Amino acid sequence: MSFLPQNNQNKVACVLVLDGSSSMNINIDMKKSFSRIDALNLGVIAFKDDLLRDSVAKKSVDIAIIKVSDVKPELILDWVSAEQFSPPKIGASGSTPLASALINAVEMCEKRKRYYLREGLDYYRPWVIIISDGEPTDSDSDWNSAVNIMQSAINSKKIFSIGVAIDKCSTKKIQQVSSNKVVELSSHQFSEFFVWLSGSINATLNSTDGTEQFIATNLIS
Amino acid sequence: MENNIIVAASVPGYSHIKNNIPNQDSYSYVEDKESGITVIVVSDGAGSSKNSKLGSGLCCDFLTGELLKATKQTISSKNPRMLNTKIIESIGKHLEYIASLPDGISSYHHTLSAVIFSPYGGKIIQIGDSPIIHIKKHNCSNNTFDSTILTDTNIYNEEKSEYANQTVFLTTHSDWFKYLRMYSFSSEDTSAILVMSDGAGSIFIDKPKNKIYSPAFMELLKRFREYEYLDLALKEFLSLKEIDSITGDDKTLVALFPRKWINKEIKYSAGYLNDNSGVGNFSEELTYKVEGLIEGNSNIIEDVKEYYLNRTIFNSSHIDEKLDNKAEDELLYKRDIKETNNNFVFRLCLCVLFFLQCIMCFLFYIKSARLSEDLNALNKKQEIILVNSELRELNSIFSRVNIYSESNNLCCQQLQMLKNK
Repeated sequence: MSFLPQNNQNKVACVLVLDGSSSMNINIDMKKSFSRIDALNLGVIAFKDDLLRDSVAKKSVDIAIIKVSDVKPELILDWVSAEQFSPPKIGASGSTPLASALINAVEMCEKRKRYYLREGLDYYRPWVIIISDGEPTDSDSDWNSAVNIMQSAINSKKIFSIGVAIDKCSTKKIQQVSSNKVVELSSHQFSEFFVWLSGSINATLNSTDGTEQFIATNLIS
Repeated sequence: MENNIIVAASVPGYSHIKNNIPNQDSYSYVEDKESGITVIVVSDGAGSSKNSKLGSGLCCDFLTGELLKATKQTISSKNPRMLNTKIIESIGKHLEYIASLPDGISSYHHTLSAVIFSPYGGKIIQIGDSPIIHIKKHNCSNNTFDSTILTDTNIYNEEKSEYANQTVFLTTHSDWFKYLRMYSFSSEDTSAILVMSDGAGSIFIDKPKNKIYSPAFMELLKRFREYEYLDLALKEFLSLKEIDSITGDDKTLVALFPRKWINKEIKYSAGYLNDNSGVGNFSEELTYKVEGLIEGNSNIIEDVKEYYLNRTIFNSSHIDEKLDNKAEDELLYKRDIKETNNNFVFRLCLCVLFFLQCIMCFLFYIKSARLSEDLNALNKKQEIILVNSELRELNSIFSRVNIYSESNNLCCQQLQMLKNK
């Protein structure tokens, strides 16, 4: 309606840092060709669908996707609102250079916050979602500097980070860059996870104290 | 005194409806027709706090009356400085009461936005992020608001923290007065005052520009002109489905227009209380509070009942009218019992005091009697000593007199003898 303000929603930026390394090609369904990356793609679609179900969330949540593969990470989706979000098909190849992807994610969140400030929009703390099925392939020095940047951003409340480890892979390194305990998932649970994520972001949008809210789930112990 | 027009409504946000959370906003207002003072209070309860609905409700109901009382006292004292002190005292009293309730003060988190509007001037009182919009006089000409010049407005709101919805509630800090914002404004230079929760703020404030969002306000005025009942017009406006895409939060608005600006016969729907006692629309809020806001927590309900029992002077007409019979009977019964108990205890105390006083008097009498006996005895003893000493002195005098008389006689005899010679 023309008499209602069109851009008054509180915003929340959400960066998905998704593992697109070759290990994500592992088939997880013997009966048909269905790999981890296929499950992840379906999960991202479920994320979009669930966000669109909520009239506030679809206008409030801004999404960006960084794919972790090959030598350096790739920004496969720059900031869009959930309403305009069209999930790209993510392929899998190469190694897992997670360190530079995380540094990019923190920089993107800061840039987005500056944009919100410029536009006079209220916003919540950005969410960084890290999903990987294995240890990063970065050198120790690269990884350590990424950990420092992430921990500093988490501790100074610049971002909120959720680490997700797939199919019982090692959680040690992902834990170093997560705000809370790492979520351990099977590849079959991606859709469930993304619906939970959408619900939790939505709950945060409706919180009156601005802190992250999490809906009840069996995924997180 | 010319009355103002006040329209108020509060509707739950869609996310609250979806998650079965009650409307945590509260509002109340009071119009004292004799003095022309109007007090409006809006409070937004924190979604994350268990008893925030109760906190916001108590805040509105208590402070409306207290602020009216404070304003009247200030006006009669002719000391304008007194008002700030009285306001702080009133808020302090409210917080003191909240702190005495179970579950801790943090479970009652709520904001406070209040307006005192009087012929002598206006006052804005705020803690938290419930905005207040003051629309100045020259925006209103020929009994209408001109959207093109609807720019001379003041928006009173909390300074933004980095992230959205991170507000300081009235109940957040023990030194709450440091976060209290108070502003004065000219009531003459006022064509409207809008007091709202942040949910309604998402409709009426253009956040990027931090200005009133004129199209929304003009639409509301249009509906006021078109609808028969003003409150229904506002309620319907706040409940528009399209607003759900802007905010899922509860939406509350209390709008005050000085009467001279609107040439329309004002009507309120049957459910809207705007009686001659001048108490505003508490209706559903209060019934809800008293009837079991927090199920399974009878202590709080008892406390609330107790609280209202002690406050019947302020809003008795309101309570009498709006509580259903059962609650009302219960309240009156409890009040009677309490009064009877109080009288009995008072009389018993008087009797005991009287009895103690009698005993004290008796003991005092005995003691003083003994004392006087002792004193008499002492006096007598002293008298004897004195008499004895006097006697001794007299004896000596007499003895001397005798000597003198003897010697005198002797002298006389000697003189006679000489004369004879």
